[in-house]
Amino acid sequence: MIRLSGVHRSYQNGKHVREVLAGVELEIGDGEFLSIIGPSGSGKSTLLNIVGGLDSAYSGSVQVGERELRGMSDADLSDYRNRHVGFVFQAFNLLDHLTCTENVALPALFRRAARRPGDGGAAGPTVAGESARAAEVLAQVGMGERGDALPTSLSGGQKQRVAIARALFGRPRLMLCDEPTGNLDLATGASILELFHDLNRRHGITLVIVTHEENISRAADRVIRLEDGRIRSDVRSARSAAAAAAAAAEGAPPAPALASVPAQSSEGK
Amino acid sequence: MTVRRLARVVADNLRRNRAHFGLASIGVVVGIATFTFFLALGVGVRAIVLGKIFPVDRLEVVPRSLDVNLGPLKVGLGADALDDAAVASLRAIPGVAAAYPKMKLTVPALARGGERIFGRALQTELIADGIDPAVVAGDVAPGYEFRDMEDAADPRNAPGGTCADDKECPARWYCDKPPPPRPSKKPKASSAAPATAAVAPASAPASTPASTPASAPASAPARWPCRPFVPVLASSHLVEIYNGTLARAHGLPRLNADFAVGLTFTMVLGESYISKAPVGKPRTLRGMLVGFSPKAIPLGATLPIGYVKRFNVEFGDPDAGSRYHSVMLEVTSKDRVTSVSAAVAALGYALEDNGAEQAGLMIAIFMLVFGLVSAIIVGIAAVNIMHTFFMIIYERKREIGVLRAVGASRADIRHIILGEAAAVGVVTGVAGVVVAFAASLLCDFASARFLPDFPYKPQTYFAFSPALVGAAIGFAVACCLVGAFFPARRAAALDPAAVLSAP
Repeated sequence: MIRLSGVHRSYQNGKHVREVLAGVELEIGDGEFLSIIGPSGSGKSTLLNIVGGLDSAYSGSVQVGERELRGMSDADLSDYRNRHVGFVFQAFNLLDHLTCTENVALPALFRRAARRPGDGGAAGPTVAGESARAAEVLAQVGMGERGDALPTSLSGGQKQRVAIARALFGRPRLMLCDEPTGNLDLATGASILELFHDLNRRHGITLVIVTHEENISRAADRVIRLEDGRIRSDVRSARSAAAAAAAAAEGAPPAPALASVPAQSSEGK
Repeated sequence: MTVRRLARVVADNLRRNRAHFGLASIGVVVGIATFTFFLALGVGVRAIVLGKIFPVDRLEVVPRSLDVNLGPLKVGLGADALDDAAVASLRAIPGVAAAYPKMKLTVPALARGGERIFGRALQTELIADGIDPAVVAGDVAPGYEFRDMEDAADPRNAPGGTCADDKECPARWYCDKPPPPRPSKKPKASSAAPATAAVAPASAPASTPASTPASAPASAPARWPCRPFVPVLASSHLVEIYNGTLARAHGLPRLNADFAVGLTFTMVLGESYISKAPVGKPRTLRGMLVGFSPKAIPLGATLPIGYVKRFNVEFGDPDAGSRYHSVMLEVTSKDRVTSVSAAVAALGYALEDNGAEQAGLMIAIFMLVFGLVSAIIVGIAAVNIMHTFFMIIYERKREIGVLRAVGASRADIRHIILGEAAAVGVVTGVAGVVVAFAASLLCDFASARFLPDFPYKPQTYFAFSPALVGAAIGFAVACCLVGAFFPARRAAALDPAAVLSAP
């Protein structure tokens, strides 16, 4: 469960202060597929960055599982991003000098030794283990044959698949996608959305997609509309309730709970 | 982030940005090369000057300047005289390992010989001093002895029998028969034979020998006593000076120290070109060069002190055998030189100024100036490194954002940038040392090939110690780390959300 309460974020440009988030209250359940929609400058990406621990200059409270992100040390926030969050960006943000496999395995470089049982995993995997895991997630997104390719030789859709594979590498419980189809044509965008659905359904990953396109947002089970830093609407689709009931009937495994994300000490730098 | 992974990232980034780093490193390489070159030169020259020319771990104590100079003899006034009591008090100074009295030969004397080496006999005023054999024990050539062979108290000294010629005497002994008759031509002072170690053809044989036939009947062939050669040490400096100046000036053959050992010559005591001793009858002895020592008198011959004492008494006054001209102090370590010097002054004696202090100061200033110049070069290079890192970080903003998004902390980013700087430092440091070493080889080659011989001309002017190489590389690393410090801070402080959402 992710719980935001009274989240404010403002930017200062010279003497001018602009409030981007104005007291956001929001709860996101484990395994939810949520989209946040709104016009440019409405605070969608800012909200995403705050939940992902990339932006800590806000006021209010952001609780992810048992941990409160606000006040966490930089080292703990980095560890949180590394273990529990996968980011997907509109601009893909792959490193052009690395192969697809190396891009996907990038989080392993910064994997710290587990400090407590709840952190999951031991110290960083071996290089062979990293490569095997990278190959596994590349295959999962349909890029298994392109592990040695450089990003510059890929199409936009392929790049985004590699970026999704990188987000999946650390087995995150939360994926945060900022306009993931913004640079893709409709057909490619649709296939990426299908991939997200699949990840959400089969692996129970909590998925938050930020978009300004209505048709993309409709693919999610829940749509939050953000305007002027405030939530204007919060709509759950009928399909969402039906899908939940069907899953329960089929005995599908419950979504891994973000509640298992333990609280961290303020250790680190 | 583990060190192994950090090293992987750093190596990858260096490969990727090698053009940038290559250009930025030129200044550091030049600076480190300059630093290493001049420091190695300074240390090398210092080792030669203070190790060979002016050894600083030996101090020579002399009477104070109130002494009265009587010809070649410096006579101390009252308490300033260096006698056995003075030697004992000097030996008791903390930090003094040993004190060895030295005595100059204060009687007129000549040396003649050298046919084997020079092709003709040379004759010169003999300037000599006496030293405790223990001081120079390590400098005597293998197979030779340097001790008072005629000290009656030494049980090792046994009579050598009688002889008609040298062949009948034991090895390193000679038949002390009188020299052949000579024209009655007195040696005299002349401009061709100056008093200070001048070399002249041996045209004036010595005066009447002191030796007498060894109790032989009038009808039997005369027999003479066998005597040991007087062992003589020459200064290592003498060979350098001879080869560098006298040999060149007079067209004499160059001397090889090993070849010269064993050279015998005749010593005439009691008369010289300049004067004749007021007492005693001039006589001849034969000496043998038994080695070279840096502790020997610079321009002359050094004998075991027992001989000099006897000669000074025989041809001078009876007290001459108990007045030392200087006392050589061996200091336990170079660090004690200052305290020992102060104690010597407190006892009322002076230290002979051998120029070591000035030479050491000059070299220190030389090293300081060039060290400063190279530090400035490296400092400018550090600014260049800083610019390069700022530029690289600007270019890699998005990459840094991605690393932050996948779990890199600010410390990780800082470590990556500083790791790159340290690696650049190591590479440039090693390159700088290599350049300096190559330049030193070139200089040594040019010196050997194009510079004429001069005293103490070394094979190399440089001393590259592991400590110097380590310091040079450490300096390069430190310079690069300083240059990258602020860029690393800026990189770590980048807002990942801002750089990742930028178009």
